[in-house]
Amino acid sequence: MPRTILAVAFALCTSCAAVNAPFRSADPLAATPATQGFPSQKLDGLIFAAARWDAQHDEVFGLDLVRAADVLPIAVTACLRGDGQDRARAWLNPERMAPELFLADGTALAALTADEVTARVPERYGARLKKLALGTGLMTAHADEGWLFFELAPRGAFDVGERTIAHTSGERTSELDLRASLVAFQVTLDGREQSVCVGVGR
Amino acid sequence: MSSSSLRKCALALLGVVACATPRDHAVMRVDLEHAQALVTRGDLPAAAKLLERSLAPADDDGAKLQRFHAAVLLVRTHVAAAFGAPFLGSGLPPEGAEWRLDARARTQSASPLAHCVAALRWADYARGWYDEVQGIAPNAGGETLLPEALGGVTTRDTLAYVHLAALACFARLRFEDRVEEILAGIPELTELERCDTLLAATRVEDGARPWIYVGVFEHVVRTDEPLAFKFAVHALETSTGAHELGEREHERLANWITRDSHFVFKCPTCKTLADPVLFSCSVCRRPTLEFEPEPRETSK
Repeated sequence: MPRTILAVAFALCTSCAAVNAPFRSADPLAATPATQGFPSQKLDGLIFAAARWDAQHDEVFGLDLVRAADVLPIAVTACLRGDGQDRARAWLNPERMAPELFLADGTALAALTADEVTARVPERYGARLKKLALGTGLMTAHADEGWLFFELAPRGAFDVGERTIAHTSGERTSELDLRASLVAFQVTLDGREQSVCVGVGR
Repeated sequence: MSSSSLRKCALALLGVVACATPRDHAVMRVDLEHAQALVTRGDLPAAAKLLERSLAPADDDGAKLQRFHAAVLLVRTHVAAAFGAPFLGSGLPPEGAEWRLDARARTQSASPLAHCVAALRWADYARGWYDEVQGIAPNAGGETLLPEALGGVTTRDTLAYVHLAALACFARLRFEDRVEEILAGIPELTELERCDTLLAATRVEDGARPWIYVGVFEHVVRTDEPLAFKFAVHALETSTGAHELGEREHERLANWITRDSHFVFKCPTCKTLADPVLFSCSVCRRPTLEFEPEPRETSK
C-alpha cells in the first residue's frame, strides 16, 4: 500500500513538473557542466590550433615582454591535421591573418608584428624575438609552435599575473581569468578565409 | 613606486570599494528594471555599463537573486550584441579608406566575437550562482526583488536561457565539444517542436536561433539525417537579414542538403527536390520542412 501511494505521488509530481517546466528530464540543467574558459586546443575542420600563455616567457625571450614592452606574448600552434591534410592548400597569410586576443570581458587586444615588438625592446633581444614569432606561409602537418604578440593598450590598463589579467577601465578593475581568453585568426584554406578560434591554456 | 603604479592601485582600490558595498534591494531592482528596458529598446552599451556597475557582493538571499538576474541580463545584452548590434571594439586595424583618415576620425570596427566571449563569461557566473538562488522567491520577505518583466519567469527557465545563449555562442565560435556538452544536458533540444517551444519560452534572441539550430544539426547529423534536415532548413530559414549565419555555415548546410547527405529530400506532393535557397516547394509551395527523405542514388 505505501508503495502504491508513493508511486501515485511520484506520478503526480512528475506530471506537474512536465506542465510547469519546458523540460522533460528530471534536472537536465543541473547536469550540464559549467564551462571555465575555452578549450586551448581545437581541431576545426582540417585546421588544428592550440594556444598558451607562459608566465615564465622571460626564460624564452630573455626578457619579460609584459613589463618591457607592454606586450602579451601567446604561444600558438597552427597546422593541418586529418584526412585531406596533404591535399589542402592552407596559408597563414600575414596580410590577412588578422590575429586578435579577446579577454574574458570582451576587450580585444590588437596583434603587433615581431618587428613592432622588436622596436620596443633593446636591440640584443630582437633577433631571438623574430626567430620565435609564429611562422606564416604554407601550413603543413608539422606542428611548430610560434608566438603571437598582443598589445596591452592603453598603457597601465592591464596588470598581468600568472593566471589572471586585471583590466582597469574607468574606475572599475576586473580580474579576468586568462583561460577565458580567446585567440582568433584567419587561415586561408583553398583560397578562402576561415576564422579559427582557440582558448588560451597554460 | 611609480606614479602610474600608484594610480593603478588607487583605481583598483576604488573598484574594490565600489564593488564591496552591498546594494539596497530596492535600488538594485530599479537598476534591473532600467537595464531590462535598455536591452529591450536596443541600447546595449548603456545596459552593459549599468549592469556591470550594479553588480555587488551578495550577502543575503534577495541580493543573490538580484545578482543572478543581473548576470543573466548581461548575457542577454552581449548575445543581442553578438548576433545583432555589436558595440565592443575589434582588435583589428581599420581597413581600406579608413587608413587614410586621421587617427581620431577612425571608427574602430565592432566585433561579434568579443561579445560571444563576454556573454560566455557572464553565463559562467550565472551558472555558478544558480545553485544558491533556485529556491528564492522573487518576493521573498514581502519585498519585490525583481522588476515585473523578470519576476514572471522562473529561475529555472532563466537558467535554460543561459544554457541556450552559451550554446549559440559556442556554435558561433565553433567549439563543438562545448555544444555537445550543453546538448547532453538538454536532450529536448533535439526535438524540433520542443526546441522551438524552449526558445520561445526563454525568449532567446532571434539572431542566436540559427546558431542554436546549427549546433543541434551538427549534433544529430551523424545519427539521424532526416532529423538533421529539419534543423538545417530551420537554420537557413531563420538566418535572414541581420541574423545571418557565417558564409561557411551557410555553405555547409546548403551542400549537405543538396550533395553530402545520404538522402535526398523531396516534396511529398510533387517530388520536387529540396532547394536550400527556397523554404517551400517551388512547384506546389509546400513548406520544405515537410519534405521527405529518400535514399540518395549514388553514381556508379
